[in-house]
Amino acid sequence: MKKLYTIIFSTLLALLVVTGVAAFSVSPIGFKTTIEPGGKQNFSIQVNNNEKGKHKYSVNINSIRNTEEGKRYYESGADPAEFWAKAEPQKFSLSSGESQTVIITFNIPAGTAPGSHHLAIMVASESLSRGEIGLTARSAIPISLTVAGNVTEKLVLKKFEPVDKYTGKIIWPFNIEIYNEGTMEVQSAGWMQIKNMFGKEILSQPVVLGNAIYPQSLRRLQQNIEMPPGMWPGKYTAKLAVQFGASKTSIAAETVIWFFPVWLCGVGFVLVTILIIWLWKRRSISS
Amino acid sequence: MIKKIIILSSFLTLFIPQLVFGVMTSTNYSIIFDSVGLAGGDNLTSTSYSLSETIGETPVLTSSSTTYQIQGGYQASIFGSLGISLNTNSLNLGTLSDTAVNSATAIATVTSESAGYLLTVNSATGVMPAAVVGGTVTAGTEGYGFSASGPNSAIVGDVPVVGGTIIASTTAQVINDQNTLTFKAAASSTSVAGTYSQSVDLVVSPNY
Repeated sequence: MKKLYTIIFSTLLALLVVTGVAAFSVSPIGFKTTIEPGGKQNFSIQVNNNEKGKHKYSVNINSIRNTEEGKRYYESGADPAEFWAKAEPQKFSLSSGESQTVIITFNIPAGTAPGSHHLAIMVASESLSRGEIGLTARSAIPISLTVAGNVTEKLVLKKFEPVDKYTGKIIWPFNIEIYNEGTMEVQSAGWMQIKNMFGKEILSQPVVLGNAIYPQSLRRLQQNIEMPPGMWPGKYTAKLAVQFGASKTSIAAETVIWFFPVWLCGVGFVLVTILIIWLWKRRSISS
Repeated sequence: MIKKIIILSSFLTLFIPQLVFGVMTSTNYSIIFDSVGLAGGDNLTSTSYSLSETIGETPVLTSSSTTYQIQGGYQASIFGSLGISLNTNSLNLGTLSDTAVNSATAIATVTSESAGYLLTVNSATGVMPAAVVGGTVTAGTEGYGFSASGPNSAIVGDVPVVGGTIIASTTAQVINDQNTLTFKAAASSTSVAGTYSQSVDLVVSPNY
């Protein structure tokens, strides 16, 4: 008898009633604000029940965390600014077609350091998730909050190097790491320029660096550059220029890559063969 | 013949130092571009910058900063609305065996009036079988993952259920955009029997 390998999921939970997450909508879909330290500001959002029947809803404030790949996570406690905001009401019920206005109040403590913060108003339908895979669906309304004062835009190019320093391929991948040491989030744009050993420009093209880099965040990416065909072997210099922020500040770095195409090996092999034959013939003649 | 060799040798000599030691023409910096796209052709206006020459073959990395003052009192709302619904909040994969792939489906429907949307797995907590590898959950190989289909799906094949996974993305206005999420699991001959469960947090946000 064939052996069955069982992985038993929680059967008790599966017996519970399965419900869907109620359809709801939120508006507006984002806020941008600048508040003085010690200042206060209110926002309002609207939550609508688009489903039949009465449903419970909850509103919370989460931080938005920027990962090295530029992805955004919504989580609790990542940014202290989360505790400066309060939603009222936090929990409520809506009948079909009803809507609720929720007031978000920001109280910035006096003496708070200037800079940018990223939060989100998270709205969820309060239906319970059950079963082996419990699903919840939330809407996120991003808030870009800047505490007023003297802010700094500062990016550091931590790494700019080819994946292969010596290559025979025409696609050259580069590793790039950019760190935001400033107090403001910054949008950035990059440009790559590649020159040959004689200083002649071979290629010049934009580099996509992704969405805004949050303060004290690292952006790590790999950029593949496709080189034009018919390049000569030798040393090439790649320069990466990055322009960022409202101040349009610029930074740059450069690195070296050596190009040895496959055909060069063929030519070398032929030359060595010719040399060996010539030496052998010369030796034969002299002997 | 000797004359030709002398001419050829002289010609090659001009290039040998550069080939061996690289081009080191200056220790000063220079601006290589006056615009990199963000400024749309404007001149750079940074208060400080530093660009560098390569020393040997070690890349020189630079940083630059600008400090300015921001006044308080600014507030702006981004108009539009964003809606989401799930047809179920509970999926049951049943008892797994090494002869079949078990699956269960949920549908996430999104309406975005203005800025499109981004539907992501924000977090996935709990204990489940090993994550799928190779893009397909197959019978006889322990694996757990999900696939997604829909007009703006960003998922190809079966992928692990992990936070940060983008399920669907668009910058266009959409009405009732249906994303069908199929969760799949399979056991192998060496799978450990046990009870598995997971909570998956889906987040929809405007895509701007």
